[in-house]
Amino acid sequence: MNGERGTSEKKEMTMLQIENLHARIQDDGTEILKGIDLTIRAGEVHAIMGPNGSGKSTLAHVLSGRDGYEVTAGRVLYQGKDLLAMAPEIRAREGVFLSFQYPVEIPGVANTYFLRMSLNAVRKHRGLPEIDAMDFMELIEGKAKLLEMEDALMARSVNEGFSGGEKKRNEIFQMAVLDPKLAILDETDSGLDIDALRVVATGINALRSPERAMLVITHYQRLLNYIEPDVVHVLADGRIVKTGDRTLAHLLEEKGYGWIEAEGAAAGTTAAVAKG
Amino acid sequence: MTSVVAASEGVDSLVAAARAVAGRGSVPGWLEQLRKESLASFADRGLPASRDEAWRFTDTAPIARQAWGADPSAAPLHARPAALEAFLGLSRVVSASRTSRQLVFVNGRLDPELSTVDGLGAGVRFEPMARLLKGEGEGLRPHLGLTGGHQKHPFAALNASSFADGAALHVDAGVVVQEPFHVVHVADASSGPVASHPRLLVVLGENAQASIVESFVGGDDGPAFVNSVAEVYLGPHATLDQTTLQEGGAATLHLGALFAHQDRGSQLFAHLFSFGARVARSELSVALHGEGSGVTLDGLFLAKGGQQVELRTLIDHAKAHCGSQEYVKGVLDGTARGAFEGRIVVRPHAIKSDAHQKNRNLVLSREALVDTKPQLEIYNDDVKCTHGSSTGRLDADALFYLRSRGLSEPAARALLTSAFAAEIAERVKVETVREYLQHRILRWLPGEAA
Ligand SMILES: Nc1ncnc2c1ncn2[C@@H]1O[C@H](COP(=O)(O)OP(=O)(O)O)[C@@H](O)[C@H]1O
Ligand SMILES: [Mg+2]
Repeated sequence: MNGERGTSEKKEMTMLQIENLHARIQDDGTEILKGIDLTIRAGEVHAIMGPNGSGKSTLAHVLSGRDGYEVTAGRVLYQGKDLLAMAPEIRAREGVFLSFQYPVEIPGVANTYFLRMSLNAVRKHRGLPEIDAMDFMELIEGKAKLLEMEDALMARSVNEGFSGGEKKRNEIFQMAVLDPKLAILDETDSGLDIDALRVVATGINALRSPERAMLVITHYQRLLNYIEPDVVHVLADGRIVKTGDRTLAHLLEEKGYGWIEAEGAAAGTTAAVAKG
Repeated sequence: MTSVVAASEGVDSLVAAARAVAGRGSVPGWLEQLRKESLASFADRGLPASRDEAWRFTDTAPIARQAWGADPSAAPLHARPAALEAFLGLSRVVSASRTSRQLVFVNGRLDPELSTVDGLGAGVRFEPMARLLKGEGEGLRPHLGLTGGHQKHPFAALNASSFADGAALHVDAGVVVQEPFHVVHVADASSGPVASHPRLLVVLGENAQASIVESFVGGDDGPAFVNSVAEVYLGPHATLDQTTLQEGGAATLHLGALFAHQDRGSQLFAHLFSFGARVARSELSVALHGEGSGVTLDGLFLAKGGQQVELRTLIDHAKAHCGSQEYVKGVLDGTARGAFEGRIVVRPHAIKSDAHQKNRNLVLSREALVDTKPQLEIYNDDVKCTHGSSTGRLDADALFYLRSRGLSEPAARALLTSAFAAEIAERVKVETVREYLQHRILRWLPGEAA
């Protein structure tokens, strides 16, 4: 499917390439991202961990095209294309999916109705015919079951009155239906009890595939017990200060973020890159 | 602007037309009296001045500016292409093939081809007023004008002095009618500026139940002045479901007033939709005159371009243990102006009153404006009363959420806007009207809706 680049090499395609990304808040000019470099290949799962306020959600928002941020330097390539030049809906149709840290409630818009509109927008972009209500219900059945989305929940307005767990399940359910190439999961584990966490993690794991890349943002290591990342990055004060394999997550759990920050300060650099 | 009547061509023409109606004779003496008093009252007071607090949001100057004809033609709707097209816009609700119980009026005159009142059971009368006014008019006399609107309201006075026909629905005590009644008023200004004075009377006896839909449509091809009055009397424990659809043409000036008088235990469910006309003002004045009576009032206005729309409600809790629930929403785009004024009066003896008013407005453009003015006058302590009003734009977080799922910005805006408006439409009980509204709201939206 992705063979059009001509070479017969088996090397995985670069899904996302972030180079020296700087971004600030448009309103007050505060710089939040201070030079991020990150490369994710198809099939890989990367985790970004970091203390509150370190810029994790800002990175997710900049990647998905939310207003209110200004990119002052650097670039982001998605499947080789300039991601930052695309409108948010184009990014979505091209296969970028953001699971929101705080999913938005949309009164009066039924979950399934919205999701079918959304799927059809994506399908149209990919040159596929629109899907009618009947086929759609068939298509989502298994995915709804996987995420334990009961019929009642599907019929309700998007996220309206949903519990924290229901909202996050709904995000991953949407991801399952929209079948993205790059999934950015922003604290999908926050606010979940252990049962909901298990359901959400099962859903995410089911979506791991050689064609898909994932960027899993989390404050805690808890989610990573279920979703084993290939690479772990630590974000602090708008920079990636450490990169390692999954054992880095365990280290952080034991020692806390203070350790990394202290080490970064001692080394006189905050842009350390450790080879895993 | 002044309140001097004589100086205005428009008012002169309206007064002359009212005199002509009176001069036609052959009406019962009591009606002649009502008309005379009403005309005197209108002529005395003239058009409301713009500094008149009650008319701050609706400019009546266009009424004064030109002479209004009364359309002498008796041509049926089928011979009036633009007006017919406007009527057919309602085809989800009423029918050009006369399958429902409907009375259709063109410029205030009954169109017999499109009107049908067959198959009414015992104890139900649904008929044109002109027919009831023959002889002594005893069929109308007990109720027509009893709400006294013509004494308080300048345009209700003009209506009382000028109406030649209208629709009257009487349902006797204990009779329950499921199927809705329809009244359609079509304004046709294709042969010159035209004024009409639609009138509706609904009288339900004790324990009676009925549903009525009153629609106003018009062509876009000329100025029409539609000055409508509806009177509703609900006997003890009667229930009425009442829907008004204002779909006037692009050059229409629509003034509508509904006066309701409710006896003990009666329930009124009123739904008001104001979408059309260039200038529209709709008023609902409900007197809860019997203990334990209640009104649920849902309103929605959609205005764009240079439309000006006003909704005014007055709910008078005159007796104890009455309830009122108001929910009004407005959506404004372009350079439209909207206003909602909700007045609630709870009288000293009206203890255990339960009055709630909610108003939400959505402003889609920079230039559109909306004014809201809740007025609560509560004269005793033993009441439950809440009110809230808010005006805002589309939620930026919701817009981004939808776009992040692949919806274009126009589609996302349309989806959020229609969801906002649909909340009021979904409260309508008459299924055909609900379906009409769904489509109508989508059609109203700017940009692609999918
Ligand atoms: N829209 C905004 N306006 C002002 N400050 C913001 C905005 N978004 C983020 N911030 C600030 O940027 C910093 C990083 O926030 P965020 O990216 O949400 O961190 P994280 O997700 O890592 O907790 C915080 O100090 C936060 O207060
Ligand atoms: Mg965050």
